[in-house]
Amino acid sequence: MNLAILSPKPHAGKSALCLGLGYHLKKQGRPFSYLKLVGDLSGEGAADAAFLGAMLELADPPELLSPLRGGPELLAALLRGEGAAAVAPGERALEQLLARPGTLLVEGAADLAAGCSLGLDAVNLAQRAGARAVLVVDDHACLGADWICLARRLLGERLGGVVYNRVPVPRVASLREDARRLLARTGPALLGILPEDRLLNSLTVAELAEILGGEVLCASDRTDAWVEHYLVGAMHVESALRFFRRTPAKAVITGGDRSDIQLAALETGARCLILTGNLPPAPAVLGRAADQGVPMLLVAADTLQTVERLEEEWGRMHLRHPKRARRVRELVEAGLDWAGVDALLDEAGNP
Amino acid sequence: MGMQAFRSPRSVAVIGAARERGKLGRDVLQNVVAGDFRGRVFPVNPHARRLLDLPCYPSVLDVPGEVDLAAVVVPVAAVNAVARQCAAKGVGGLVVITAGFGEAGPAGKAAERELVAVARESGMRLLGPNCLGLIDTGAALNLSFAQGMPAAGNVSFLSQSGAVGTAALGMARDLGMGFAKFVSLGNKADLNEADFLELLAEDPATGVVAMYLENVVQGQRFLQVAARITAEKPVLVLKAGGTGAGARAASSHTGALAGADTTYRAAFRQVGVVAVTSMEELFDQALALSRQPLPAGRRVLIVTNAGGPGIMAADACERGGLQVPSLEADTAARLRRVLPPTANVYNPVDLVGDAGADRYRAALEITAGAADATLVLLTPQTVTQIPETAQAVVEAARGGGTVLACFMGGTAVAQGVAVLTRGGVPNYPFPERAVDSLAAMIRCREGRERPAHPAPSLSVDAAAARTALTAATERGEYLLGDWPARPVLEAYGLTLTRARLAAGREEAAAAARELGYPVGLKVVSSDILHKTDVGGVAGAIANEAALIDAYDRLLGRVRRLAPRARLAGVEVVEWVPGGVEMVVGMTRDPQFGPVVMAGLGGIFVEVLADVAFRVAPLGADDAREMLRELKGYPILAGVRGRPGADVAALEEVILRVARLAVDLPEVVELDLNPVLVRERGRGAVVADSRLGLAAQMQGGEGE
Repeated sequence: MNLAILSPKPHAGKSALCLGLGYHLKKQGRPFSYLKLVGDLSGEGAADAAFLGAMLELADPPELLSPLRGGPELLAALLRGEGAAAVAPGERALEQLLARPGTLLVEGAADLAAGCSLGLDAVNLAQRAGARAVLVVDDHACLGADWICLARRLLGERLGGVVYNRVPVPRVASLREDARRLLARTGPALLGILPEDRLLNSLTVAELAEILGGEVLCASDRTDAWVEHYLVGAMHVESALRFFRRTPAKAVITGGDRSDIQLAALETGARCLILTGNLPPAPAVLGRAADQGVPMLLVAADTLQTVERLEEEWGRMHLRHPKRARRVRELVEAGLDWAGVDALLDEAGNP
Repeated sequence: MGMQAFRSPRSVAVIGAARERGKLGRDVLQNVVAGDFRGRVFPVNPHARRLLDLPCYPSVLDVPGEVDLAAVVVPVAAVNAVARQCAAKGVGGLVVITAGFGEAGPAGKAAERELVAVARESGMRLLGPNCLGLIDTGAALNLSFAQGMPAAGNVSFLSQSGAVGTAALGMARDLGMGFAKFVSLGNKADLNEADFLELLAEDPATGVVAMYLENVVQGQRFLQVAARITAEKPVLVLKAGGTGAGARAASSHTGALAGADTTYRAAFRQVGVVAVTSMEELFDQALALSRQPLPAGRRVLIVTNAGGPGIMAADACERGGLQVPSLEADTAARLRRVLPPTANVYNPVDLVGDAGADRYRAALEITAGAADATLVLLTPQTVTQIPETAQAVVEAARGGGTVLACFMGGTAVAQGVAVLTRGGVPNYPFPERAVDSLAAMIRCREGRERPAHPAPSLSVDAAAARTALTAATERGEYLLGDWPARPVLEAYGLTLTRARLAAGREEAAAAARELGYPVGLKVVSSDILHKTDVGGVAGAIANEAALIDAYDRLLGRVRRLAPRARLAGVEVVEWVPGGVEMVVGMTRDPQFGPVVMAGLGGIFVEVLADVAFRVAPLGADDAREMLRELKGYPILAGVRGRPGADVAALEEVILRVARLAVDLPEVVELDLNPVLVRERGRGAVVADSRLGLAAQMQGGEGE
């Protein structure tokens, strides 16, 4: 049986679940393929697919793993009334992979609506692939109850299970209880709970530099350090010291002219400093950072823009790092009801 | 190898000595030669055979004989190679004048680290880099590029800024102030203020130490050394960067945190170091301390030829905590016999405007010994005999006691000032500056007379505290509220309000019955930093009905205002009535380490900031002194019929917090607020607390 992985929200953990399922299928020696047809109209997602292919050592080229490129072109084609032609490579890839023996893991578009205008939304894909659908939910407060209900209405019996992702560790037990009660009424099985994980919520300094378009001013050999928190240093230096001391694995965002805050950050073990507004630091401070092996990133954006950018990034699930891939494998291995998953995989034919 | 080379060098090399004017290498060699250094001098430069009539050597390795100190003035890229040669030669100390190291950026910082490594490997000690050099008038050695040799004297000056150093040398010349040692500390890559303070403590030529600092490198060591030296020699420190803007400037300049001004002031005061806030104060006070003996007490006699300056001086004395006592009746009577009828014979003694030198002389003779210090004021009037009066003041000073002068009037009194300066009586152009200098002398005297502070004996259970702290960090909690902090505080012998954790309404009611009404409630959640901000506190609950009501309302408020917070329950606490509300806390200063704070609680701490600080460890008397420093101390001691509070119990709380701060470095902040100090004999109870843990080295790998 094929599986379609979908979610109500982007960055809820679909790729991570696909990766984990891929590892499982590989371990069992079952043949499988993976397809991520479309992220959303903005064209994101191809890089995740390529990374996933590499981690799972799939022989298929990126064009087959994620055949559709370039959001703006798709939109333009749609506006010209040439949508069908534009998505043709996707259709061909789907047909090619469906013709293979074994399981196809289809990763749905960003959310339940994405791709609908081109006929490539997750629900449609699941139907065309004859797949059982698994919904990934990262709403531990309300259990995604409304989404599950909607997915059930759209997919009917095809909705095979729900996986909760990024559940705060203290909430795992109570959520399991709540979810069992909820799903007993609405149908799909509870296929697993993946706890919130610090590593999957962390970015490396190199990733931060890329996201922010920052120039690494020193310690460029130390950009593999992991950052779990970012703090803004705009206060008085004594308050900054207190605040910084009790925050582990942090990046500190401040102006290049705030030597005092920069030194407070260096004093309290910051993993990197993000200097906003294109103001380079004082040479003596830069020297100290280099000496301690703490990268300083110089960015053009101001502090507010930088924080907004990082807030957006920190709300997401991150995957593209071998270390994170290993962690996903461990979490999925430990967190899924494999009997339930195997039961779905073992179903024959089109439900 | 210690600092012997810096103490009494017998030979110096100037590496990078040059012939051309305008080069530092020439200035340094010129200074050494012109200063008449009594030891041997070796210029080193591969491109010269003789410099300033001395044989010049291609490298330090070619120098015949031993080299105690080597000044390095070669380009930055060549410094480390030169340092290695010096190490091979067995040079005792390096004075690296060359700039372009840590202050210049990453490459410079790396070079500086290497330079230190070269020195450490061979046992050489290193002054600088990026410094002006050093001067030792006792050895007639001017190993610097400062202009000329200063006069010899008993003041030693340590400066973190070379420029401040050169300015100081120039100003001292005008003031007639002489130096024993002058050290420009530069980047303090190896030797720092504590090292030289230690050296100066044993330097017989040094009577007074003055310092300009932008930060202190080894805070605790500095304080230990300072406490020893101030018992014998006054130490003045101008610590720049005490404001937000100043601290930022200092940070940019040095690449080190400037540190909190309140901490510096507290730390300096603790060890008898006098903190000044301007170059003017530094010079005024160093001059007084270097030229006059310390006064025995706070009583000041003011002698003047004009009423106005006398009044200003009296004001300044009282504001500065000095006394202006009236003269004894017989002294006043003796004065009355020699002074005109319009004169004032009490204190200030006003000799009136037509006073000549003889009248000053007579008054000074009669009042000799009447106070602990004498301040002689003079304003230039038509009949005033300025140099003659100055001479009379000098003679009076020779008779013993502390005498400072304030001859006002600029150039009009210049001749008199010259006589005073030659005669060893410091003169100040304004009365306030003279009085401030007197006050500094008295602080030095009182600091010296402080009793030794024996360490208090307290029984604590550090292991139990640590177990509780480890459990918290394993849960990923770094800021502990009242409930999780309890085992730590209890292990340190603090008395806390009795409390129970309740998971529900019924448990809360049971806990309250056990504790006895009235009780208070506090929400317990590691996600809530400020309980009161989310309405997570209720107090003075008198009975079970009120408790149930308060419990439900509290949880309702918290769920509304902090919907995502994970709640561990509600803490039911006994409600302690009365007592004086105090705050006791601890933070960590990057320079000095644990800093303990005590102050009046409630609105006093927020509005009046009436708090006292000390750097831990604390001696038994420190807690006493902290409390007596508070403006609000009378509230504790008991005012207007209110009974005194249990000050001894509060002192013990402070000492226990200090002990915790020293024992548990992972605790980075602690707030006991309020500490309720009950009536004398009834103890002090910690009613709420917050404890912060170091997270800085944790996490990051997702582990």
